[in-house]
Amino acid sequence: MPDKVSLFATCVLNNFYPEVAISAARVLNRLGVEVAVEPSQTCCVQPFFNSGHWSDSAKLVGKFVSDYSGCDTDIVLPSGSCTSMIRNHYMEVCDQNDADSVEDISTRTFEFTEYITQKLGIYDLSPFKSESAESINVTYHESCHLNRELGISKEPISLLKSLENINLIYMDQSEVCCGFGGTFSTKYPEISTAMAEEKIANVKQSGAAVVTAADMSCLMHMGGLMIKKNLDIKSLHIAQLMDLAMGTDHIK
Amino acid sequence: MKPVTQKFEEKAKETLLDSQIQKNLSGLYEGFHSARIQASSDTADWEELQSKGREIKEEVINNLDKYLELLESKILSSGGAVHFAETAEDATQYVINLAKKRDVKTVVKSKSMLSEEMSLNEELTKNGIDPYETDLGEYIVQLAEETPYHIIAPAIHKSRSEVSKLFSEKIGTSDTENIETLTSEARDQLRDKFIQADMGITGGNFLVAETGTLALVSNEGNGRMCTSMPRIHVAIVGMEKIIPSMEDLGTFLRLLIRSATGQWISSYVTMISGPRKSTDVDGPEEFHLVIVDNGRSKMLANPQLREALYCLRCGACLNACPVYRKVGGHSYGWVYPGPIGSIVSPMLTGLSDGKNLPFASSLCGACKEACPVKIDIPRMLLYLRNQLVEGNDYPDQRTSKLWERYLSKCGAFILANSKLTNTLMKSASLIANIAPFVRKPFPASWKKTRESPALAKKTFVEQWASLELDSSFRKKH
Repeated sequence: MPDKVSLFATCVLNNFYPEVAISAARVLNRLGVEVAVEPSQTCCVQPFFNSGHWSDSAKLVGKFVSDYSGCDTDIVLPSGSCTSMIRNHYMEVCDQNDADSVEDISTRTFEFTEYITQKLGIYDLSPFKSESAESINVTYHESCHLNRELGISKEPISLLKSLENINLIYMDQSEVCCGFGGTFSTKYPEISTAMAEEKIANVKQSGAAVVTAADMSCLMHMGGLMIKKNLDIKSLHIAQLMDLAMGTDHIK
Repeated sequence: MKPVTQKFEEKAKETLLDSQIQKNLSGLYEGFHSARIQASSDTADWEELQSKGREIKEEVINNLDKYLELLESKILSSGGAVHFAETAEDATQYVINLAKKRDVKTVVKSKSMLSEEMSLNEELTKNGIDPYETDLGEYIVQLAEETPYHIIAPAIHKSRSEVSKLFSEKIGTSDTENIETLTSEARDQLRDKFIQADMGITGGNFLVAETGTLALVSNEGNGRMCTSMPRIHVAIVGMEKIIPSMEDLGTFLRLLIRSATGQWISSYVTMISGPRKSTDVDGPEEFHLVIVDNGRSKMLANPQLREALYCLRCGACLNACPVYRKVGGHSYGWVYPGPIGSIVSPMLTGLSDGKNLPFASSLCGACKEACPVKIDIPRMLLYLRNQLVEGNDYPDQRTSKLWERYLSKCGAFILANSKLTNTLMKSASLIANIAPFVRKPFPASWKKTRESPALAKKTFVEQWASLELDSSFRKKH
């Protein structure tokens, strides 16, 4: 029986980067996973939680719970940060009535690369590679919540390394925050930008043509600065790179 | 020190524009931060040590009264005096009264952040007593008439040439940037002060309850001179610095020193248990321990914030923090900067005044990762944000505006209803066809330096419904 997951795209991907969620779905499918999508999905609630609005957060946790309880399907998110919100913080803010469901949901919620490595047991993607994929120089940014709150650090690197056409170049201070931090980026734009400048200097120094990460919000931040600076470096989600390398973008 | 925590934003912006300070701060990552990572990874049982340290702190802080009583009795029986000060003012008054009574004219001080809480130098000077900082960094900061920039490296923001200029202006040294020469000039100046001083004032890294011992960690030897040369030694220590036993001291010295500087052990660890005994050839005639609360019991009383009292003041979270490494120490506006400061400063000086500090973090978690006793700083920052917005535990400290709370409610209402969310997003996308700025909806504060992402013409969920994909691929759960 094939594995089955429900893909929660996150609000950033759903509204701004649908192509990334599609890539994630294609990759999962290519790895033998049946993908479903809950049509009423909206947001994981992190922006509300991080800005201190916890009673409103509780309401949205309730919405998530009603969308995803009552089944035993694993939920996969192409974002470490949103995954951590569900797994590590839902319990803190949810209504008492939702506590049991939250506990159940948090055990079957996985970040995209975490799911592939730890749940599917796939650390080597070479059997899935496409012959026609072009070779690219890539550097990997460790998104903070994936690395520090979920403890996922080696897994995405192992996946990237296993793809022959991806030439992974280490950048200095790859584990340092890019300065996004959700509402922090607009509340303290100068500090946030200064942090991104430093990150981009390291990306640039690595010589890579593409910076990747498992969180689109970090890439949106880094990419946003790189566009303003007219830098010819792309920011692509790890699912997009895998999609390209595995040639799954041809599936129709 | 008078808190100016409300000026965070203004001061942070100034610091970002100061290229010299930016250059000086940029050394922290390769310096202290990397040295800590090296030292902790070289320590075979590091994680065990961390857990042990945390457990001990938990036990002490939960039973603080018991340990304080034990400590007091030990110090009294060794001939020392103990004063419990509820406030910084109270602690200052005790020191000044004592100094006056004993006809003290000159005071030498070793590094103490708590004395900054008390504005001790200022108060001593007002009372005709001359205080001299003897830690090199503190000495620089005192000459520059500034406050410490970092918990363990008070003059980290000053370059060698700035120090050279300062020394030649203030103490008339020759115009040199040679570190050895500058250090020995400071040493010459301070040597006289050690000899003249009637009173030595120190902080304390640990107070060992079972033996009544004050432990001081230093690299310059100035701490030991402050505690042994003048006739009176006064130690001012926060009440959270207590640990149960000498055996525990071994654990904490490892944790503190390796996290602070990356050294295996500091050049000096000084242990003081009371004044000179009749059989001692030297040492102070009097030893006074001032144990200070100054708002710490507010954190003790709140289980959500209690772990902030586990802090060893090693500074590792400052070095690890990408925000501190940009905005520096003075932006935080009080004695304790950086991630731990963003909890401690608002709690000790007023949450609503310090409302910017809990938000001045990208919540990247590098502080928690660096902490030798695993203090969950991000969790407490989030808790304080919630208090500032909703104020359930501190209603009088709530600073959020009504419109802000209303906006959040509206947002949550919309997102809780996917049909409404989808309709609004669809409308936004349609409007964007005639009003292109709607396509890139991020606020001006983002767009000034970063391109806004563009709203997709169709959301993922919409596209999903119409994707011509393999049937196994397209299912509802």
